[in-house]
Amino acid sequence: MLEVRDLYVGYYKDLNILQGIDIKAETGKLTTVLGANGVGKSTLLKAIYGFLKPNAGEIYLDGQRVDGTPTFQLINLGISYIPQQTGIFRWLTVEENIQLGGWTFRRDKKRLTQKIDENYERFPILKEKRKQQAGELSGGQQRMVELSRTMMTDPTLILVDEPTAGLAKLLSQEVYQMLVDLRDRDGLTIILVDQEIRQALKIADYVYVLDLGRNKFDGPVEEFSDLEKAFWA
Amino acid sequence: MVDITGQYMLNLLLNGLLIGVIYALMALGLTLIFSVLGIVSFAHGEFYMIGGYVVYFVLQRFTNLHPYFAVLIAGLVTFVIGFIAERLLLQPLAKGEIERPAEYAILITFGLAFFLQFLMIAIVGPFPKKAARFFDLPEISTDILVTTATTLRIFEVPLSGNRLIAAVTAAILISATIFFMAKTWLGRGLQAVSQDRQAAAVVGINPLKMNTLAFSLGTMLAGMSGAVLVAVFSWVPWVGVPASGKSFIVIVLGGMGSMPGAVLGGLILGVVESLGAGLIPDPGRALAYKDAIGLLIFALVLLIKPTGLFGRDL
Amino acid sequence: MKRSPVIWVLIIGGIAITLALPLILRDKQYWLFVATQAYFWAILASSWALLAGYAGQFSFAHIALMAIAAYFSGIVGRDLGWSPLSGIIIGTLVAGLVGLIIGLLCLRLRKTYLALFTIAFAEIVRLAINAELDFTGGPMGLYLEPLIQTTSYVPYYYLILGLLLGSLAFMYALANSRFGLFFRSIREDEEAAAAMGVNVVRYKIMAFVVTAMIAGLAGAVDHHFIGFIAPSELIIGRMSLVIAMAVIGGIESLIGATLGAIFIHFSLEWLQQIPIPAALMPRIVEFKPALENLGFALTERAIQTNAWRMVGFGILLMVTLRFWQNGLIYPIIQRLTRQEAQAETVAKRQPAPVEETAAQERSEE
Repeated sequence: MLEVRDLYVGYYKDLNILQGIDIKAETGKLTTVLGANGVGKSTLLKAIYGFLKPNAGEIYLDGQRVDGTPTFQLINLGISYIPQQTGIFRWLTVEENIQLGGWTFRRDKKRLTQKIDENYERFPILKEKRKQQAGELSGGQQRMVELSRTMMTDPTLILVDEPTAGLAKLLSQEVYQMLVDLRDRDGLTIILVDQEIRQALKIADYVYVLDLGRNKFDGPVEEFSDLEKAFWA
Repeated sequence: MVDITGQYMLNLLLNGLLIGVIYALMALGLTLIFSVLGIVSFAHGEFYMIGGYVVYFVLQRFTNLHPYFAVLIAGLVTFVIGFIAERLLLQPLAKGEIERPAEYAILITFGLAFFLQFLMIAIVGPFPKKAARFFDLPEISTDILVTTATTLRIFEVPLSGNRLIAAVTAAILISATIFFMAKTWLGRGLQAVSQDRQAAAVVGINPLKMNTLAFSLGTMLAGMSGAVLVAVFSWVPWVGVPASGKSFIVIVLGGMGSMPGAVLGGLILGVVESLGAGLIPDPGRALAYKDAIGLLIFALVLLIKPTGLFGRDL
Repeated sequence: MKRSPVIWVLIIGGIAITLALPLILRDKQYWLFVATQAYFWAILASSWALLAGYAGQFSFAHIALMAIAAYFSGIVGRDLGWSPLSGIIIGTLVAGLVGLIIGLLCLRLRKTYLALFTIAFAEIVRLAINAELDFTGGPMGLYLEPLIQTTSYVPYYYLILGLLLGSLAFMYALANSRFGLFFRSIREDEEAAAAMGVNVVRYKIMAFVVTAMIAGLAGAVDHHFIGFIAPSELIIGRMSLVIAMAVIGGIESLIGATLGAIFIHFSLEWLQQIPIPAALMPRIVEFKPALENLGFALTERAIQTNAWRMVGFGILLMVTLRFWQNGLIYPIIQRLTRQEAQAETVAKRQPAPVEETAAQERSEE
């Protein structure tokens, strides 16, 4: 379980974008964070993932305090992050990309091959294109590469930032299906930040709504569905 | 007025290629630093200078040592100096502790160059030194190829044995670097950081360590280029200034951050300089303007296509 | 801006001392010469600070522009028989013109690229001067007619002091006018400045032209005093020295850079065992015969001892950059002169967050 307590984050010390956020992401559930553009949803993920240093507040993973941990060590705690713009290594091949996902256990050849094969099973198309430069792939396939790379370390929690921004509708469906699979099949805890409210609500278990850097509402998705009209009509 | 024949042109071309390989090796280091740290090191030539001196003094002290060992020692020494310099001066930049990063990077590496240059004047003195040639060429005599201990004729085109040895050594080092970057975990880690810093951190690569590694490797490559050339040119503490200049030209020409660009750019610069100098009629001017040709290309590339031949849009 | 009376005491005291210096140093002509050269360097360092620190244009062509003016002045004097005064005027104008061209060429170039381009330019100028023997005298150098017929250093001392004070006054007026404001806004964020309607192109070019002309004027006048210029004055080492002076003094302050230059020039002279101009150190071998003719013993030992002081300055430069980005001298002046130190300085601004900086920096370039 990931817990964010009273978090203040900003690009400058005296200018906080997040002003006291509280979030709880239950294990094995998909928690979605919604809100209008610019309320600090992405900032929240960046802060959890160590790209931004919180000005105040705490972050706990299963009771252990993790804020202040450098980004590159979070993978060892089982947390991974999928940014809004695909973060693949564009000039490396698909296989090299996926392989780099196993950076933390790079000396374990057996585990590497095994995990790579698992990923090829998940996305057979990537096996076909494994010698291609990742940057040449379509947007959806790039997402697959990124997801495969993420799955190399078997994370227990992933932070996902607007995974379908800029993707065609059909592809978006696929991406959401991937997230659902990760939760249902692999038992992952997912925190999803999204603009596609309708889609996010379809797959989420628990919902947070932010407004101007503060919590506005939170509750199980069932509760939220009733209120949805009131909020977004 | 020189007589321009096919023979003469071939001679210029081959000599240009020989020196171009060394330019390529140096520029490879600078482009590696740029691709990972995002800065241009103005102290690159000083590491080249130090590498040369290390070989000179090592060979002077241990006369029986194989020159290649001396080259490796030079690589090690410049690696360590680069490591320390990165940790002390450039790490704060990557950690975001510096207010104006671009300005700081220019000035601090410039300051480092200034410091290293005068440090070497203070330690080794200003007068030229030159290492003995690394080894003799085997004596061969066929229709196409004739060699003596110090020279080589191929298709009747004479080449300096010293330069040939330097170029071949540099070519080996370039191949090793390319292999390292493409096939090893560390090399791919460096590539990953240069392509997407944030994503590299997500997969667990420590970007700060990669910065240190890239800078140390870059300075090592500069040091080794100096190391192979100290037997060709006479060495003074400011020998790195034009060498820095050449590496800037090459990486701008090839595209900042591009390794194939650095290799190709180095060869192009070597050939263009050689042809340019060989074809200017007035020999006095030719010598003086040899360096200006490269600088002119440099200025033109910067103005017309700052991304160079293989530049990525960073 | 609230200034305390201390600043007036300092300004008046400083001017009084500089004016009285020829009397104080009556028996030490050499030191009067050193002071004159210190002022010359101060003009270069402060005008570079205006260009780099205020306007954010990290040009390495400053020394080259200075030398272009001096060479032009010398050449029109030698070949066309022009008087030194008209030579100086034409030299200054040519430096301004070249500054204009550099400014135009560099409009699209940012930070590192600008630095690389101007280094290339300076090197081309140096190589061309070396090669064009008929015009420039090549490596042997060019002799310039004296501007004032005198054997004393005193008139030149006042002349170059006057130039320094004049150019400082001019640059201060410029920096405190709306031009200065625009310079700063361009440095902070070029796109934002452009979006707010600042004519970025015009002010950038203006910064280049103005500072080129100041450097050119100082270069031409000073070399009519020295009487000689050679291409070895254009080596990158001399540019490093100007930068070191401005950085140690305070790159964002004209007076800081000025005092930095004076401080460094004096300490280099004071520290040195044999009088080799500090910035000529890297070309010592070329100068060996000439210096020995002048009676300076040029042993390797002496040169090495001498180089250590430059090593010291190299360390000082790096430490300053690393820990005191406002320079060493400027913060002292600030503390002395401002009751409420609310200056918009480097230290006040917050650094960008971890790991973002490098990425942003790269996307900018």
